[in-house]
Amino acid sequence: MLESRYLSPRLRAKQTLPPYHSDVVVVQLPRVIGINSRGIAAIRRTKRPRSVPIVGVGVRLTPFERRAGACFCMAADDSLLRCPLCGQSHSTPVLKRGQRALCVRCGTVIAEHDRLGGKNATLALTLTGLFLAIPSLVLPLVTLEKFGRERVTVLTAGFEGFWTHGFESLGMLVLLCGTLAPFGLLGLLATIILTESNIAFQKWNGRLRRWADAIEYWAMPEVQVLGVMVAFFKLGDVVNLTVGPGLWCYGATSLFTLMAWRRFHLQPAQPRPPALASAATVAE
Amino acid sequence: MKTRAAFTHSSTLQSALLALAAVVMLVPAYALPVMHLGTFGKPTLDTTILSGVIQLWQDGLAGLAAIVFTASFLVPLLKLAGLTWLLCATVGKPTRHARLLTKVYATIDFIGRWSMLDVFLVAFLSGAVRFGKLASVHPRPGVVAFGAVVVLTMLATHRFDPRVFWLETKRLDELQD
Repeated sequence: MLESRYLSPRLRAKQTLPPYHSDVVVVQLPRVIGINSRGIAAIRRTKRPRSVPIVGVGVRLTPFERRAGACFCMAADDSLLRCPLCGQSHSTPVLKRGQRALCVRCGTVIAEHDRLGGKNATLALTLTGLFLAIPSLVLPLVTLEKFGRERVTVLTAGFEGFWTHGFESLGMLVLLCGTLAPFGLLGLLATIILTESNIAFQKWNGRLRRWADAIEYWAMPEVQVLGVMVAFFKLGDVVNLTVGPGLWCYGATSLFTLMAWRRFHLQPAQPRPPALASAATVAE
Repeated sequence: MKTRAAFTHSSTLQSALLALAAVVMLVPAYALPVMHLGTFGKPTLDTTILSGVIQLWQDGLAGLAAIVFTASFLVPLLKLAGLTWLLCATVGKPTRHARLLTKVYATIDFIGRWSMLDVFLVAFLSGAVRFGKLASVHPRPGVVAFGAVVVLTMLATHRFDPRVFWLETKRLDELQD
């Protein structure tokens, strides 16, 4: 039996647990309905249906979650969705558009179905990021000018700077976090999504997913964008600066990387294809 | 002191050691200069992380100074403080606040990367500003220490496994009987 301190007051009174397959908390995402005169998005929350209970097992919902209409959701099949933070397993939820599944125990967001399409939208974001990666590597990032001497920098300027001044390890770190990891992540995501339905690639697919997970932790293009912008303001009185098209492309790439990754890792695992499921049974 | 099995959990121990190394590296990271700016006709300038922030503030870029101060001073300190809290909570009695601690962990994991800001800043400046005697920026050893702090705290966060807070709680699918 669950220790009573982990139960919400309502459940502590009842002491009855719902069946195993109803164990993800689903909340409705706020819906943006327009922009008012001050430029602030007006947000309307969708009302939860009255028939749906608002408790998750063992959690005390935050007021926000409760107001947003937290409720149980029904299971799709017997495949499991594990919370990356607390290890609780859940059945794969069926989410409607604009719904988000929270871990029943610790409240972490583990799946989301946002208002754009499904896998195709993720692939579109990834490919856009990849296409923009090429100009962001080649085109000038920032052009500096001092007393008529001009210097054009590209994305690898940071790596170059550390490397030529004898800080090789930091140069590698900057190259990894700013360039290799984000672009590699985009490439991996595109490969994973494109080969997902192909059964011949199943083994590689899992491997690539693990690599993407590992590489994502070190991909921080948005931090590099901010770094370059701070440098831009800092140098204002020392040299004359012009933003090049490379910075715009890189900024867009980093935005698309973030969006694609969020959508990718918050999509619930697909049910296994029937052929593989039966193969697993035979193997056992 | 009665130590819970969780602390001997190798990932918690590794995380504690990495965090300790990061704390040690904090001292040179903030004390040593991170870069050197030489401009024609002006005295050369060695900036540490905090003097860089003060300089931005004096130039009238208060918002930017606030961003850099948050990213390169507050974030590493808060991260290490949070990690210390999490590590302390794995010792002794099982915690009553598993949900809160898991949220703290998620926050630390999320903000961690922003302290790389200063490393990227120095990297870009030293790569871009190379006009010989007119204007040039050189990195200084402090940036190595600062980079080490960032990487070590990120590794420590990555090694830490928040599931140790949930060891005493049964998984909900084990509650069928």
